[in-house]
Parts: sequence; C-alpha cells; structure tokens
Amino acid sequence: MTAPAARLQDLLGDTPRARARIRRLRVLDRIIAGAITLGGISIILAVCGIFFFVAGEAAPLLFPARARAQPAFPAATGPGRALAVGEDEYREKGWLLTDAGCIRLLDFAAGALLREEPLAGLGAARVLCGARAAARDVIAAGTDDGRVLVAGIVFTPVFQNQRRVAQEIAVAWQFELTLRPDHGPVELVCVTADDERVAVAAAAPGFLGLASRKIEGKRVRSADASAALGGLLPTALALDENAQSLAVGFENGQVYRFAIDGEEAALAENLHAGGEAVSALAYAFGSKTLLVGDAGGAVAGWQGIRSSETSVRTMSRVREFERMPAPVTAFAPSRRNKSFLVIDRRGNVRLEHVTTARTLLDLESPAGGGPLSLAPRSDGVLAAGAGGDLQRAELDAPHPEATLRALFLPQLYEGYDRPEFVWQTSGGTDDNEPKFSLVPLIFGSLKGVLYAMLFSAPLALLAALYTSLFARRRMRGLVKPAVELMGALPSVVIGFLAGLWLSPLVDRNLAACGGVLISIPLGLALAALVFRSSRIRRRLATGRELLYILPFLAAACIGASFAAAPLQDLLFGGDLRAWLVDVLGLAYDRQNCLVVGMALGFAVMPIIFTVSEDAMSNVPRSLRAASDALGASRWQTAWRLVLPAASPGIFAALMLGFGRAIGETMIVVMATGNTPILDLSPLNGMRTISACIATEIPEAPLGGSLYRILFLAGGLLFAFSFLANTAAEVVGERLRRRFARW
Amino acid sequence: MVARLTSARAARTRKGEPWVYVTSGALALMLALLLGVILLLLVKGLGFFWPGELVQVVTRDGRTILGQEWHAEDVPASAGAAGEPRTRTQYRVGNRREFGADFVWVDDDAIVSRETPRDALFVERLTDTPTIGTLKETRRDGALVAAGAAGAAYEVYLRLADEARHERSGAGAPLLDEASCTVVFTLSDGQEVEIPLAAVVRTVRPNDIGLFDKTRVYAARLWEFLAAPPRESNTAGGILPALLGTVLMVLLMTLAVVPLGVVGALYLNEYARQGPLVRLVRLAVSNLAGVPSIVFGMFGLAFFIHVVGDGIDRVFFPGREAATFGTGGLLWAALTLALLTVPVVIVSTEEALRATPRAQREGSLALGSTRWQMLRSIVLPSALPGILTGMILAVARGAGEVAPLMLTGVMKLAPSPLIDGTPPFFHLERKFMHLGFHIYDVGFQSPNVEASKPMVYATALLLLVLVVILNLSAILYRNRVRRRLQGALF
Repeated sequence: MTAPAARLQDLLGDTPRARARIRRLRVLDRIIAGAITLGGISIILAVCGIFFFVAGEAAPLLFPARARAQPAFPAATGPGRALAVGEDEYREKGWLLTDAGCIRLLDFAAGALLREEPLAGLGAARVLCGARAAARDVIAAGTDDGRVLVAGIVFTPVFQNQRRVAQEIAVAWQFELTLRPDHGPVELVCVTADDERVAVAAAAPGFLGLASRKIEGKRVRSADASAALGGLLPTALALDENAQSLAVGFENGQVYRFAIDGEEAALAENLHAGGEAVSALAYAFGSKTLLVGDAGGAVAGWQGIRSSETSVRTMSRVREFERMPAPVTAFAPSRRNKSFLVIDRRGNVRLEHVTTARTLLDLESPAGGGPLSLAPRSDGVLAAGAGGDLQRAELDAPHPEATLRALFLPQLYEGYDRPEFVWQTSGGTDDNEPKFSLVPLIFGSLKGVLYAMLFSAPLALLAALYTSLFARRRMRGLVKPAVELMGALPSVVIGFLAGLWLSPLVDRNLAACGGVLISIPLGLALAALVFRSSRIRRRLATGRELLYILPFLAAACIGASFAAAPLQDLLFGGDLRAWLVDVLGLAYDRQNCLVVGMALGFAVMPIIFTVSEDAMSNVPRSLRAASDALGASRWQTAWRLVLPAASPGIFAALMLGFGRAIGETMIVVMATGNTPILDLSPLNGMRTISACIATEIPEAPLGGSLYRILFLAGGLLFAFSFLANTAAEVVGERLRRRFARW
Repeated sequence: MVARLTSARAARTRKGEPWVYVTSGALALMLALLLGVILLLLVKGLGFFWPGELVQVVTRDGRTILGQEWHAEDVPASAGAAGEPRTRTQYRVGNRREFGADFVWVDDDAIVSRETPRDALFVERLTDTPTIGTLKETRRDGALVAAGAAGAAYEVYLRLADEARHERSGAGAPLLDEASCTVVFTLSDGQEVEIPLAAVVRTVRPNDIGLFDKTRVYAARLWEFLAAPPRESNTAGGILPALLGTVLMVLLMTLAVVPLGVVGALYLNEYARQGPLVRLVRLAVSNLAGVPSIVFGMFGLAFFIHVVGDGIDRVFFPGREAATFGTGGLLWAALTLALLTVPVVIVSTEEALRATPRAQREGSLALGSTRWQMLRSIVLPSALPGILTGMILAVARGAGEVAPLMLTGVMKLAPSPLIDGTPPFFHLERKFMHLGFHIYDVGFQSPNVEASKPMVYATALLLLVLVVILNLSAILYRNRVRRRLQGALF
C-alpha cells in the first residue's frame, strides 16, 4: 500500500491535515482488513466446524466407562458379617444386613452410623444367610429355625422450597415367613418384590421352598418343591422380577428352572450348565436373561430361544462373559439397563453388559466375595469388604449398549431367536432394551436413493441430452428456467403430494400405475418403430420431436389405465395386490417405494438435469463440428462423442443427485411408512437416517444414548453427502480443465 | 445448429434418429410431471374456497344424506361381488359431533333419489365442523324470533348472525357461553341442533345463490384463509400465524446470512492469500450447500439451543424453571437456516466479486485509494446484483426448508404470538408456526385428515407461490444484470 499512498500524498500536498487524513484512511483500511479477515476466518471455521461439532456430540458413545474410588466407610458391619447392602438413588444413605441379625442404616456423607434396627422376630435364632431383591430395597434373612425374616427399607426425600435437601432412611415394615415346617435351617435365600408383594425362596440340603405375601396382607401362599431336588445340593437361587420363575443352581453344575403359579412350583426346565458348581444366579433387568456364575469363574447369560423345529422356547446359553479369575460369588443387576456387576471370591468386580457381552469396567475391591450392590441409577458400587469396611466407588458408564459392533453388526437381543439388525428405540415396557442397529437406517437411505435414481436418472439424463443437443434454442430458453423452478419446489410440498395424493392413487390403481411404468417405455419404442417404418419423418422438422412424441405418450398412459382392469382380471385373478402377496410373497405397503422413488426422483431430477445439461453443452463446438464433418448422424455424434466427452459431468450430476436424495428428509417422512426393515422390495417402505433423526431427536433425552447415536447417524449422513459432493466437484473440475484446451 | 446442419444432409446421416425421439419423450415426461404437479396444486388449492353444491340423496334403506359430493371411486374389488363394476361417492356431511363422522360413503346404485334443495345451508362454525342442514328457527333468550327455512325467516337469521359476528369481533374474544341468540338447524336425519349465533362464522346457501354471490363467498373465504388465525385445530380458518412466522423467520435469517456471507466471500476473494488451502476451503464451502438440511438442524439443536441458549439461560435467567433460550425458538431457527444458506451467498458473492473488471480495480488503486476504499466504491457496487441474487436464492431455499425447523423451534400451534404489546415486543425466543411445517402437521398429524386436506393443498399452493416468486425474481434479475453487464463489455 505504500506506493499508492505516497502518490496520494503528492496529490494532496504535504499538509498536516492531508497527512492526518491519510493516516486515518490507512488505519481504517487496516482495521477493516483485520475485521474482515477475522470475521471471514471465523465464519468459514464455523461453517466447516459443523461436521466436527456433530461428530463431537456422538464421540462420548465410544468413551470407555470410568470408575472413581470414594472413601470407604470404616467398620460398617459392626460385629457381624455383611449379607446384603444397598443405597438410595442419590447415594447419600445406605443400609447393611449383617449376620448378627440387625439392619444398620448408614449416612455416607457424614460417615456415621445412623441407627441399628434388629430384625423383628429373630428371637434366639441365628441368621444363616441373607439376600436382597434386585430392584427394591427389600431384604430377606434365613434363620437356623426354618424361618425367613423380611424387611423393607424406604427412602423418603425431604423437600424445602420445592428442592430436595436430604434423604430419610427407615425400615418401613418387617414380617416373618415360616418356610420350613420342620424348623430345619435355611441356608440359602433369595427374594424379589414389587410395590405390593414380596416373594422369597429358600433352600437347604434336601429342601426347596417358596412363599409369598402381600406387604399389607396376611395371607401367605407357599409351595414346597423339595421333591424335585432328588438328592442334589442347591448352591444358588434366583427369583425373577414377577416371581414367576425360580432358578436353582446345584453343586454338579446344573440349573433347574421352576415355573411358579400361585401355590404350585413345577420344574419347567433343566439347564445343563458346565461341570463346575453353580455359585451365583441372578436375573438381569427385565428378567429375560438368567446370569449364571460358577466356581470356575465362568459367567454366562441364558435366554429363551425358540428352536426352529418345535417353536418352543427353551433357555440356551447364548452369552459368555469374560471369565473371572476366582469363583463367582454374587451378581448385582442394574435397575435401568442391561448391565450388571459381578464379583468373585478374590474381590475382582466387573461391570458387564448383557446384550453386547462386553466388560465395561474392571475394578478391584480390597477384599473379596462379600455382597455388593449397583446404585439405583447405575452410577455407583457398594461392596462389603473384609474387616467390616464398606467400599464405595462412583461409576460412569452412560452408554453401555453402544458399541461399534452393536451399531453395525447383527445382535442377539432378548426375545429374539437369532442375531438381527434391529432399530427399535422405545419398547412397550421400560425393561424392553433399546435396539440401536444403524444398518436398517443406512439400508433404508440407500434404498430410497436407489429407487429415486432408477426413476430420475434415465429421465433427467435423456432429457438433458435432448435439450442440449437437439432442441431448438427457444425451446432451451423455456426448458431451463422451468427445470430450475422444478428444483425450487419445497420438498415439503412434494412430500405432501406423495403422501396424500400419489400414495392413495397408487394404492387404488396399483395395476394401472404399474402398467404406466411399463407402457411408457413401450410407447416410446412404438414411436421409434412407427417413425422408422413410415414416411412421417420426411415431414418432421428437426427440433419438433416433442410434438411427435406427445401423442404416443398420452396413448401409452391412457391405454395402460384402460387395459389395467381387464389385464388384472386375466393375469392376476382380479387383484394384483393379493397376487403379489400370494404368488411372489411380496408384502405390499400402502406407502411404498414406488411412491417414494417417484417423489424423491422428482426432487433430484432438476439437479441431475441441470448439471449434466451444462456438461453436455460445454463439449466444445469444434469437436461436434468435426464429428458432423466426418458424416456422423446427430445421434451418432451425441452417443459416441458428446456422451463420452461429458461423462465426468454426468457422473458429477449423478453424484449430486445422490447427495441430495440421501439427505432428503420431509419427502421421506411423509411418503414412507418409516418402518425400519431390511427388504429391497419396491412394494414396501423403509426408514431413512434423515427421517429417523427428524422424528426421533425431539423426543430423545439430551445426552442419552439415543441422542448421541442419532448424532452419529447425522455425522454419517454428512459424510455420505459430503463425499458425494466432493467427488462431483473434483470430477467436474477435471472436466473443465480437459476442455479448457479446446 | 448441428441439427439444422445435419437435417440438410442426405438420409444416411439420420442414423439413430428414433433415439432422438426417445430423448424428446424423456423431456416431455419431465415437463409433464412438473406441469401436472403445478396444475394439481392450483386446482385443488384454489377449488377449496368455492362454495360447492349441496346434494340431498335418499338411499334404498331410507337414509337421507345431505352434503357435498367430495370424491367418487370404484368400489374396491374385494368388497364388491363379481359382475358389474360399482361406483360409490363420498359425501361431506359435516356435523361431526352429531353424526360421529363428517364423511360418509354411499354406493351409487343404492341411491333412490338425488336433488339439490334450495334452502340447504352450509354453516361454518367457530369451534366445530360445519353444520349442513336447513334452518328451523332463530331464538333470542329462548324465545322464538323467526321460524321457517326460507324467506323472511332466513333474512332475520342472517341479520342476527351478522350482528353477533360484529359483536364478536368488537369484543375480541367470543363469548359463546353468554350468547343470548341461538339458532336451530334441522339436519338431514331429522335431528335438530341448537348453536349460539355468535359461533356462526359464515352461512352460505350454495344451491340458491348465483355466480356473483358465489364469487363473493369465494373471495371472502380466500381472504379469511390468508388473514385469519386457524380454527378447529388447524383444519379450518386461516393460516395467518404460519404466514407471519415464515416471513419473520426468513427476514431474521436474511439479516444474519447477508453480512455473514458477504464478509466470508470478501475474505476468501480479497484478503486471503490464494493458494491450495483457500481452494480447499472454497471447495468445502460450496459442498456444504449440498449437505442435508437435517444435519444443520442437528447442529442448531446441539449448538444454538443446548450450548448458546442454555448458556444465556444460566447467565441471564438463573432460577427460572422453564428454559427461555435453552429451547427451540425463532432466533435459533433463523440462525440455523442462515448457516444452511450461507454457502449460497458466499458462492454467488464470490462469483460477483470475481466478475468485477480488473482494470477498474487497478484504476482505483492507481488513483491512490486504499484497498477498503477500492472495495467500497468500485467492487461492492458492481457486485451488488450478485449479492442480491445470492440473497434471494438463500431466502427461497430458506423459506421452503422444514426439516431443520422441526428440531429448532417450529410448533403446530404457537402458544403466544411473536409480536405483542409486552416489551421487548419482538419475542425471538418464542416458538413459531411455519407454512411448511403447517403442511406436514395438518396433512399428517391432524385428527381429521380428510377434512383438512383442502387446507393443506391451499397452504402448499401458497408456499409454492412464495418460493416460486422469490426464485423467479432471482432468475429474472440475474438475467437482466447479466445482459447489462454483457452490454457494458462491448
């Protein structure tokens, strides 16, 4: 800038005012340069940063789970040994059942023992064993005189100014159940509870009994299944959430499953587990998977699988978790997802996830084997260690179900018989696990693109060929803006027409619509034949082909709609839809890919047309003139010269169309049934990534797995379309450079 | 040119000619599709406001049906026995509350008689589906004022209904409960309904009035569509809030996108050192124009709402229970769309900046101007048409986008208006209604899809007209400017 400024100085004269003015101008210039540079860079960074931001939202999915040790609670157990532990959802207060026969209520924040409540009705008896319900703070203690003492612990939040300030803990109720009329010892116990009912099961050598009672009631329903044991020694027990199923593990490695119905407990299945003694049993959240741990450290998940021949569900060993180094002693299932804690005798604690069968965390507690619990929000561990300490740790495993394997490979879900790709984010019940396979969505997106391209690419490319090479100039001047207008149609309008007008139309006149799809190419072929075999062509002026072809097209459409009904009667027994289902086995959906393909195709046609038309028009005139001069017909020039020369441009056009089609949202939301299926048939719908994002993200909890997985899907979508656009751009650039020589 | 050359040649040069006809067929199909869509929207969208004839049919089993003929079709093959193909007609009979359904299907061969009674009324109501029937009597405070279906009684009814309407518009909110005047209609099945006069929006006797009156009703309905808020959960009335929401959102978006785009383009074209990096950035920016809009919507949700909005809420509105900026709203939707359309503005501005003749720039610099002076007085004025074109294209794209809005603050029925009397008058944080979303919502989420379909067609037509006008103006403007520039070159 110095040279012009100096000249300016000369021009204005070297007065102080002029100098000040020039200085001002220069400062202004520099400020603006700085501002624009800064602004420009930040705008471009912001625009380009979108991808990284979207991907960043998805990144925590792949972060490993973390644990942070918290200060231990010293001497929590008092004189006895811990049998069961638990805490509230804010992890402020906790409780502990000891074999000294008392419940100790603890305050973790203060590190103090609040109260010690003796088990009501214990009397002179001794407590031999204890257990807690998986989803409630309900405990059961088995005594040496054949009874089970049950207690419920309740946490009550204390509010001040509508804000929770503290948690109260209390033993709300207690009662006793007499399991063994012979007053023999109860050596194993398990318990399950819901808001109203408590059910317990108890075992000892040669004895297996059940009892259940309403918390508020008196009537006890009990059952004795000792006869089914047949001399086997029970070593582990588990009741499912609804107390309909009791699993009993034995020393020889077998597991029996009893079906409970009121006062009946019938042996339903004999699971032949491995040879080692079963040492721990539990049902995972939802009670569809039985977790079995044995003395050899193996941890397995069993679930009902329907065999293909008999269609009867039998429990099968379908998941193997990482083997524990020592005999498994206890499980603690989560209350909100399919993860669970497992501990072995040496004190190794692992957080595992049922569906993905992976280890989320590997912890160590200083002393092994004691009871443990997973906090209600699955964000903490409580384990009773040796020496009476209570070990605590904070867990952070927010996305246990999201692994690359779960997102992209078939998964065996609970309730399914084989590994499948499933996208199902909300089930009928809370314990229905969300299923996040992105494969059906990606498949759906690609399927939509496929049908859109099948419909639009031939039409748009042929029309572009005609417009650029054969049409008169005035015609071109009309067609190009018309197509630009077509491109400007809001997709919501196209989608609405497809969903509310075209879809019922196709539904009512499926045969006619299919007929039109066939008859139009036939009509074109007929037009070509008639042209070849007659003298009309002599009379036709070039550039007026459109007028000649129109009657044929109209005839094709009208003919198809009239011929549809008789043909349908003749060929398909009067109902094409029924015929498709019965004979070809094709499921018919009202909102199918014929409709979506047309609507999406309509949306991408303009971009394919415009870009490829430009590419064809830009083939240098000299090349075409040379071809003409060599005696080629205009079609030969078009087919052998222009098309190959413009092929990169055509590729670019198709790529741009692909990019537009894969990201299109409103059309797909409105014109497909949005069912995530893996079926390429044109007669049913699909669920695309974009539609899935649009419909599910407003309901997805912020920061949850669904939210982040949808962002991952968005990132994928971004990558797909960005790659397609870049490919188009690069190829187009090469084309421009190639023709720059001419 | 080539065509004319070859046509003059001998027959051998016409080899492959049929293929040319096939290509012309493709073009014809494409244009037919476009034309078909536009015609469909025009017919269905504009036909809705026409007061259609009311038909009274008596079926063989003695039912009397009074309504508009809505739709006719062949009876599905599975339902009808073999033999003669049968047809059936759908009638819009209104009175959803009384009849349970406001549309009925009647087999055409079951109809015994068909007539168009002159005194049949089509009464649009404030809160319910229209009443179709005949006038029985008008009452004030329970006492009879006029009885009879036609003549003087009809006149009295019309006058009173008019008064009630004026009262309603004067008082602001309708006072349905305190209405003193009521009217009783006889429906086609003989039952009577009594409704307050204040709830009557418009009464038409379509079989009795002439073309001129029909046109007047048409115009009134069209005006109501454009200038009134929706009634009956969006299935009747107007779309004014959606129209306003669209316009305000687009205005706000334009305010954001033009400075952003121009500064970005100025930097890329004038200030950045041209090299591979800038080429890469340019490629990325032009590619972003093709990135799915839903991805921008996700960005808007995650960044504007949950990062910026939550931040604002924490700093300025601590202690508020409900989120103010930390939820979808007009501002975030407009900013999201601005990001979505900024590549369009950058690309067309850059094109325009590049088109400024080098000689003019150098001339300016040679006269001693600083770079900013040169940009301000030479480059920007000559690039203005390009910037404007970019702006219009961005507006056209933004006006038609719906998917990102669904994530950033559009609503089916906005709880409170965007502009009102309480400071700061413009409420950027509020949720808003939008024409495009209105189409989606009314067409696919409405409880009475059949009745609301015509509304959707009309709304779609309006949106189409808006977008097409914007695009056409951009195209025409571009062509004019191009011609002027070409003229200036030679």
